[in-house]
Amino acid sequence: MADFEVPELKETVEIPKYVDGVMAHSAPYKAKPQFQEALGFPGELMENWQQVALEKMTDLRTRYRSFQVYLDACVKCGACTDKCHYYIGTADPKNMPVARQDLLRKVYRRYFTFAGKYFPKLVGAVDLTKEVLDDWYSYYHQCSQCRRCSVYCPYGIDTAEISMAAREIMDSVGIL
Amino acid sequence: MSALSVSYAILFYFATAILVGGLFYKIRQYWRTPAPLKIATTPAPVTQTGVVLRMAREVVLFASLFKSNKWIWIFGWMFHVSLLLIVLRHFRYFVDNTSMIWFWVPLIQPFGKYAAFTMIIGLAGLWTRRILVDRVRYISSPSDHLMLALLISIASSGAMMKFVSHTDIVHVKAFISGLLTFNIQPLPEDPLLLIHLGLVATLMIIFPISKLLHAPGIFFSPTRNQIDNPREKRHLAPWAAELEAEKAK
Ligand code: HEM
Ligand code: SF4
Ligand code: SF4
Repeated sequence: MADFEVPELKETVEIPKYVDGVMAHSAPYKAKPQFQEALGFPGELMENWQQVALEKMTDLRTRYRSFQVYLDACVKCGACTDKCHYYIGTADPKNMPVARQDLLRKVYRRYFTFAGKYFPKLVGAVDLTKEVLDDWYSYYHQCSQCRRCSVYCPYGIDTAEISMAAREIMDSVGIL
Repeated sequence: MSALSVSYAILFYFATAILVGGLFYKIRQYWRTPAPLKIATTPAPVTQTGVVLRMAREVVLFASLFKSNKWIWIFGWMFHVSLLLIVLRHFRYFVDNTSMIWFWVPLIQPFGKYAAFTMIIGLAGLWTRRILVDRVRYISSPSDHLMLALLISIASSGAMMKFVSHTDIVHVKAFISGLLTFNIQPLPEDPLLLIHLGLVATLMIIFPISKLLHAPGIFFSPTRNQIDNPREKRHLAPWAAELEAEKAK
């Protein structure tokens, strides 16, 4: 068990200061390969999973306008940062809706945008590594897809759309 | 013609091509991508008119942002309204003021003039939040800071030319009219003006490859632009309809 402080319940919600990585350990158990295969998924992390994941991302971007627009439009205004109950309850910064989206957005930027291809550091773009994939598995399963954050975002960016896409990408490379 | 005037003319043609071409490409991409899910955030309007009103509330008043954070709203709204006034004020360099349809250009001048200050205050407020609020600092990358620096520099260099050291705007207008008629005219060699114009060209170039895509993006956001009528009218994207047809076979 990780060190974890249960927040005290007060009259009004207090927004905690963030504490890096407190929920990084939390992730669901992976489904057995035979159950995954029965659903048409590879069942185990594939050899060329990066390539398959990026292809899946493009497939989803061209089929879901929400996904494409939301990857581009966020201005990092911070209005959603205190709106997710998983952030308020855990203080893990990757549970802030915008940071949850960024786990995927920084990969999108790295491979599919001019700025991310040529100036990755400037726009916070990163390569799709195993660590990034582990973060996806952990934090995209800590979103209940309640869509509360979408109510508050000035562009209605819906983190549920992003975490749905992320889970679909993960299914397709064999980590369901 | 001086090499400087020619380079600035080329720079502006290039920047305009990137801005227009880039926005055209992104808007076409958003337009053509299907939106298969009915996901309007409730309570959502149930008529087309309602959707237009909702979008207007979001674009003009930043309604959702108002619900979510008053500080970001105050600074952000102040900055955007000032930016709009300033852009409208700049029409005086582009249009023929003898024509009737531009009657509002002289009227807006005083508002645009002082909007420089509210724009800088708004941007400074947003930047302060970005540095001081731990959560916002966490989500910021260097580009988010640079974007604010760029806009503040544009606004300050512009305000300097208005309130401190005037530039020769008659020749500026001649230069811009020249650009519009592909007949390059000399540009005054005032350092402030050169900085101001250089930064504006930079902003135009990065517009379609940065988060400034929020401006066209907001109009395509399915949570905000959909009518809430999933029971009355079945919502089916073309690719979903194909899947369904295949299944029925
Ligand atoms: C349809 C037009 C537009 C709408 C509805 C819109 C709306 C918004 C909203 C709601 C925000 C978040 C709040 C804030 O941080 O201010 C924002 C942020 C921002 N907007 Fe716009 N905007 C529009 C056009 C533009 C244009 C034309 C520019 C610049 C040339 C611009 C530059 C910015 C910047 C730099 C930010 C981020 C501020 C920060 O770093 O905190 N916007 N916009
Ligand atoms: S409220 Fe929307 S635009 Fe602002 S940081 Fe969150 S997701 Fe991005
Ligand atoms: S949709 Fe996910 S990220 Fe958004 S508030 Fe709900 S749980 Fe948090």
